[in-house]
Amino acid sequence: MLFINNFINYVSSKTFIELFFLLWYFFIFDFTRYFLSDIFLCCYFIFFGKKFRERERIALKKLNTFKPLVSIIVPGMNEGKHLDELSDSLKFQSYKNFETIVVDDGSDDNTNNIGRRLEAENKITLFLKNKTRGGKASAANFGLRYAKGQFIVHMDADTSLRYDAIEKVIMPFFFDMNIGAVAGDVRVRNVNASIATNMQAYEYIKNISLGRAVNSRLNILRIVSGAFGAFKTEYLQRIGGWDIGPGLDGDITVKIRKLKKRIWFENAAVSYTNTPDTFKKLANQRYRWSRSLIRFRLRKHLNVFNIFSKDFNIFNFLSFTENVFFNVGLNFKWWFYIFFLLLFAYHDVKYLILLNYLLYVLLNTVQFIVCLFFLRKTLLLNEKLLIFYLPLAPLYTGIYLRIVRTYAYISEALFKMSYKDKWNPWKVSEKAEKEKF
Amino acid sequence: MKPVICGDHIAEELYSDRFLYKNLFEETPDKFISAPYILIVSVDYHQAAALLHQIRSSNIPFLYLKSVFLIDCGIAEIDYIKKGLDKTFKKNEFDENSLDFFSHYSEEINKKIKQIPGSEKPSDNNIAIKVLRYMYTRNSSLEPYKSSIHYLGYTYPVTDFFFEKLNNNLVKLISFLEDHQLISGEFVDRIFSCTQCNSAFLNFREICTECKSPNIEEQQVIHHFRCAYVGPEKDFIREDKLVCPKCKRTLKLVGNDYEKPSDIYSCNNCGNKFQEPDIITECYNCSKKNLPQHLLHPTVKSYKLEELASSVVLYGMNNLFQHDIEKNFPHIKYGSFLKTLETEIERIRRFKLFKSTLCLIKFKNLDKIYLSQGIKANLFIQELSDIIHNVLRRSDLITLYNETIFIILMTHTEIKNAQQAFTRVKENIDKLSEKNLSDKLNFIKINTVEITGVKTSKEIMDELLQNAFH
Repeated sequence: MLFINNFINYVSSKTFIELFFLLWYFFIFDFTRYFLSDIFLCCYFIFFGKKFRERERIALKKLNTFKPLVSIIVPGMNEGKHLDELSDSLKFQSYKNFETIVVDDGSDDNTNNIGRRLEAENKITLFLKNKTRGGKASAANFGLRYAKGQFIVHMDADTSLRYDAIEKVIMPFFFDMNIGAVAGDVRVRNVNASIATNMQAYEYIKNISLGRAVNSRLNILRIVSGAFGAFKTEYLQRIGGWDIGPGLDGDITVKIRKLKKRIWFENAAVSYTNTPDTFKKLANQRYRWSRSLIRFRLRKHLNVFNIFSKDFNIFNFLSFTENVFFNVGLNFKWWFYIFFLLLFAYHDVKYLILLNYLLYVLLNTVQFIVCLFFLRKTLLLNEKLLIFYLPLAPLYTGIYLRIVRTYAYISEALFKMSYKDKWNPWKVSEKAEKEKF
Repeated sequence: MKPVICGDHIAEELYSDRFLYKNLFEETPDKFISAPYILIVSVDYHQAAALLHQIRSSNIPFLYLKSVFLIDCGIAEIDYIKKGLDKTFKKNEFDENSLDFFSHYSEEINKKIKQIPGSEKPSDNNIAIKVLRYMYTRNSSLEPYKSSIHYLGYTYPVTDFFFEKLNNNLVKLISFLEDHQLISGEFVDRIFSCTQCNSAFLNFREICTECKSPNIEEQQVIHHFRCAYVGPEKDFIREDKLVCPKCKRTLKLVGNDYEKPSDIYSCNNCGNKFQEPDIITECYNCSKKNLPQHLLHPTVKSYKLEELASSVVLYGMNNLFQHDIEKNFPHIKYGSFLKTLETEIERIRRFKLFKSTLCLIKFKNLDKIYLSQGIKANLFIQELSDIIHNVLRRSDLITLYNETIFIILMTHTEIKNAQQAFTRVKENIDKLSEKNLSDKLNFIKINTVEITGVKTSKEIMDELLQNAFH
């Protein structure tokens, strides 16, 4: 109680300017970024909502008139256990004109038997088996080579789709002919498996369902998740499909952006995927994701920042800048802020940490309420109940993920650890490193 | 009598002093039945095979079981024909020792042939017993032989010469003998065969999974490590090089900068792409199409005689049928039956109040039923038994006169009633045979005699049996 009283006394004794000075990191960056993005989204829907809904209605009508063939490509290794559930989720899709191509990237379990059975039962259109593992990009490209559809949907085997997800993810191509790819909304399927999955479910709703919607409207969306996304086949063929990963979903999005095509995020195209259920597994996944940011944004596609290039595009530039600044830059700035607190407010650091924490909880709560409003049609009950986990969210996003990201960025920048990642077979990683991809 | 020599004229010229030259195609075989053995001298496969068939297709045990040797003067397909012969010599190997061998060998065989009752008379029309007797006299086994002219892909050369022509009966013959535990088999091979005609000559076709066309093409798939492009080899072929269509690099070394992780088929008819083509088989003999999983998958075995076969060899096939007949027809012993019959005659004579009828049923061609039905013959006999039992009453008595003749005492039954009942039996049995047998066999003979108390049991039985053996 004494600590609380002291805390209240401390906060009430400070002027707003003093607090702003001590909490500059929150006010300048996170509050601005997230709160303003919420404001933007609210305004967007208030002013353009009706127009948008009409545009969507017409696009859906066009889609159902032309009924283009959609090729769903599902690359993966040892994913046989998910294939029955996957084919069931596809069976009841509202959009029916699609083919399913499952590519087995050198599985050593019973995936081949399951895939062949589903192919014989016509539950999947084509099952392609590579006897040796070549990496996810090669598996996806194998599927692309034999896809007949006008649109490609790339998804993971452990992703299941809402009944109208295919229809919704293809629909945007019919309201803007310049759209090259559509990112589907990816949610967590195993929400209640552990605290780790609770936290990820919250993070996905906040960063994907809401964050990417904002980025999409600002035309700076930088990733179409490999778990569920759609592409125009023509553009995929033009860029030669996927390149070596990890992080191939972010890479291919940039390649499509470089074709001067727009990337759209579609909230209504909802999919669910399994996420790591322990913090250790999660850390390994995030190391991979964070390393790919350095590898692709700051190495392979560094020319996006070249304002003198004839291919320079302001939205690509802003997209990269937003990505690098908020993820890499602020991550290191956060450590600087901790150092700053210890230097300038060493005696009050405990109050300031608590105050920061409360402000982040408050900000997260506001954001989550915005999510509940915008995603009210698709949010499930167990997702809505995540509101009770919000007090833990700053620990997860503010500390855990920052530590993981920091380690990943440094290890990639200094040691190019992504090339040593077992996610790709060595024969492929070796080539990627040699060719500086 | 001297041994018989036959075949080319060279045989007559070379060996006439020691042999009796006969032209088997012109002379009746009975004329050289007492020859110790037959020597064929030939340069022609067809002539040698025809001569051997002439001998083996006889129904006289002493002729068809006779030792047959061949002096091979350059016959093609000698491996096949020699399996049906007792011994083959090359012309240049033939000498005095060979003659001693012939005499000694045939003497042993002839001793065994003499053990068979009636071996000098025409008696064996059944190929099953001929095969058993051949194996018995040679103490040999039936060995399968790979053959492209036999529909199974395998044959048993010994049995081929017993048949009039090559046909499906070989399978029935072998399964009949095996089912009745007269021979036992040892695994040699397994084959796939047509569900319609048993032929093993099948064309296994890879066909398109969509349009079922066999016009499909297989391509290797290439994965270029550098850019992750994956596609069929034809995507990479640029003149005489492999060039990646995505990154335009030349592929240099498999395993180093690219690999071939799989194959893919493309249908030239409908354009469908797939990795596992459907497979269908088409029979060369009858054109029947089958899925591989529906094909028959019989085992090819080598066979040896079982102990049970010895009695069949010496006493005939009827010995075999008796077991099934006895099992399916509950009956009393013939001696007891005769005593009961005498008692019945005496009662009728004394009281003069009623008449009874004695009825005879004789089964003919049982061997053909066994041969055509194989293991199902027992079920056929059981149905036969049910038909007969349906017309009998509890007071009626059955006995077995021998393995094919039943005698039934129908007490308190006048002959016209008995005849009516057995007319129904005959009709039902005819229906049964039509349903189960491809050839309609007239295999049942019924005879009835009324017991009036005047004739003795011996007189009645003689009357009953007098037509049974014709």
